[in-house]
Amino acid sequence: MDKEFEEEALRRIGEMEAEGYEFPEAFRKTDWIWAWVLIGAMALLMILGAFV
Amino acid sequence: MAKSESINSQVTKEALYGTLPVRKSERPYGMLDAFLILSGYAIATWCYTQGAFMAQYTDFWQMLISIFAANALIVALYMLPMMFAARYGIDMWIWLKSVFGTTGIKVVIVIIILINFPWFGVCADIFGSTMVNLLSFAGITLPAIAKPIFGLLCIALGSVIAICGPVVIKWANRIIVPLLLLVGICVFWVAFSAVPLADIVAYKPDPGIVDGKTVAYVCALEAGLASGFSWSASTAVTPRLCKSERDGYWATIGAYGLVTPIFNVVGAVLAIAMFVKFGVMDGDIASMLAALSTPTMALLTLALVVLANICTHGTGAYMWSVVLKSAFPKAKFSWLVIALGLYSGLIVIWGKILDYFGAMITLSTFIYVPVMALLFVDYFWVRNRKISLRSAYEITGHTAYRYTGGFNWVGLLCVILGCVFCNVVFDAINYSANLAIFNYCTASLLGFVFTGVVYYGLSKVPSISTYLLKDRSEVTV
Repeated sequence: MDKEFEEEALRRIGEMEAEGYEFPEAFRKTDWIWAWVLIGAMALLMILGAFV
Repeated sequence: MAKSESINSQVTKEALYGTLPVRKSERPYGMLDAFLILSGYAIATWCYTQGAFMAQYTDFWQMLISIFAANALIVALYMLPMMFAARYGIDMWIWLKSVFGTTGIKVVIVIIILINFPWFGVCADIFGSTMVNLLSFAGITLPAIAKPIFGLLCIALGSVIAICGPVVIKWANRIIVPLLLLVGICVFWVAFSAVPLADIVAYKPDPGIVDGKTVAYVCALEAGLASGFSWSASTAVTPRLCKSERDGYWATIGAYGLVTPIFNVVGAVLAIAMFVKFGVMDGDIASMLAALSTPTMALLTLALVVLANICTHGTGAYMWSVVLKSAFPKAKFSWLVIALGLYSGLIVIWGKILDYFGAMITLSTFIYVPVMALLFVDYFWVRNRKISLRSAYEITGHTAYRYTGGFNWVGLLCVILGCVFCNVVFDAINYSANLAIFNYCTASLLGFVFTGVVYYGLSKVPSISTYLLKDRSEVTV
């Protein structure tokens, strides 16, 4: 990797490691619930589709 | 020379610096922005071909279920690990160095592009057919050779757009999305007005296509899963530009799990209308529009399709050439565009991509499946949602992902096993099951679980765990 790229990569990684850095908002608990509800519902729909 | 060097330099910067972690302050997209951008990419004219293919296997209600449910399920599943994209601002090809190694990832990228680019061959093929149909409206009947020649013209024009660089691409995208929306509206109108809706709903597929209604339905599910998986190679691109993990996730579900299926359904209804009216199932949107709509509507829609497909090829050639350039920084960008153009040109000259559409989407899916399964398991259970960013960016002195000469043989073995497994379960060329278990869970879902279990199991073997997890001491965030 070229030196300029490496320096910039290190700079950005360092910013994330800095104390007090706040990452973008994480997936909320409700998002997890809705995601698995969606996956489960679609799986169920796929199974029910065989009987239509 | 100076201008082409400048474009090469712009693209080099975009490829290399575009792979750097995107700062939180640099993220331009909220959920709505990302949803609109992804939806624009999602509604290319290949959507209708996908829908028409699936309509061969199912009646109207099973068609709706197999299109919506299969797409939404698989996108919702494989998008879960993509949270790293929003968290760190990195693309999946950065994370996947942990799975395949710093050189192995380049091999995987090339394979992914080779299996993904035939979609652009489909676009060029549709362009060729559209031009022939358009000219026939003007009373000009052309020989069969004209279709591939026009297809090559689409590729050439699209490649020129790509070579012109990021500024032209940005403008092409501003044209393509409204065009594709207009195409969608026109096709929707034609599809639902060509024959009575009751006839569409009452449609029954040819019982001879596969042995049994349930088996036919599962084949349609397999095709629906293939459609959902076909986006997987580029699904971190937009989330890494999003302001939060949920923005990237739900925007992608909305675009690929809802908007794309709507257009697939429109293509399916168009094919059913064609069958109801003429007794023929067709996957070529151009010939369906010419046959089913009024001359004015057909002319308008076909003209839009022509413009849209040139832009689609241009955007796709640009995007994948940038991905290739990030893996091979010394390669000249214009040569990468030309190489991809030659590849899709061969597909157009072959002329049978629409005949083998099912084989194309499913054979390629049997490579996406193990790759995404490995990403899923690696992210959640092998690396507990953290990688060494220093090793992922190959910072001097950080070689955790170099493994054996740049290859992680465990990851590569799992991909091969997963791919073979899927092909053992299902014959993608003849689109029929090899093993009865296919009828209960499809080859893609079974292959996803199989590959994930194998990789997870191997990661628990002490010597393999040591091999895989050299990065743990370097993980900081």
